[in-house]
Amino acid sequence: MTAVIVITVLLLVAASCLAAWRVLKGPDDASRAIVGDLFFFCAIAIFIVTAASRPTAVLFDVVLLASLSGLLATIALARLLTRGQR
Amino acid sequence: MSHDLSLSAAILAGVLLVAGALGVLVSAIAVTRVKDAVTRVNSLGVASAFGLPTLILGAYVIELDTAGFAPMTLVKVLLSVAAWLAVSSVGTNVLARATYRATEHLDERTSLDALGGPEALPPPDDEKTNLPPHLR
Repeated sequence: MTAVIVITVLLLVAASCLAAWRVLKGPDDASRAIVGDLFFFCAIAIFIVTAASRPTAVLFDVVLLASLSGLLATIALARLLTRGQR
Repeated sequence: MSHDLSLSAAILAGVLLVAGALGVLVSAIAVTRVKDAVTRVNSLGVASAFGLPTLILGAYVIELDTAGFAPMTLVKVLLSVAAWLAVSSVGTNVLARATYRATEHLDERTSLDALGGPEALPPPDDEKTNLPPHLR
């Protein structure tokens, strides 16, 4: 099981590296906002995988809160992109 | 580390975890490769609608096998999966709308720009458009 955890985390870190590269290269602000969303997904995914490999009681509380409140960050970035207009 | 994981649970959890991580990685590769920002928003869908729910289910399989069944945990898992499928879609929709308004030009292979107004639609009798016949 440890091997599976390590492989999964490596895949997710690779996804984060691709996202970081796209933030550096990203031709416009919209791309950077979108990739910020992808970074959030990668962070939650790495948390899920590492927390599932050890006994903890807060795993699904954190996941539930993150999945419900991730909307706020996305909408804030969307408002930034349109300079506050709806 | 969960040493007392049974073999079937370990296989199921491993398949779910690796499949979910591959979903996120495929989404990241797509975000890196596509040409414009609106397509990038589309590419995020694999991560939020397949990758994260699958990872949550894999973690729940491990939790079921090591800690046993608890009704509250099942409620949290179902709510989390529903949130990734529904709430995240709403957020992506808002982000896609803002992205379209902030984007200067779309990928030149875009064949139908329905949000661009009448001037963005192709002329009706143009044989060179990529549209299927029923949309011309």
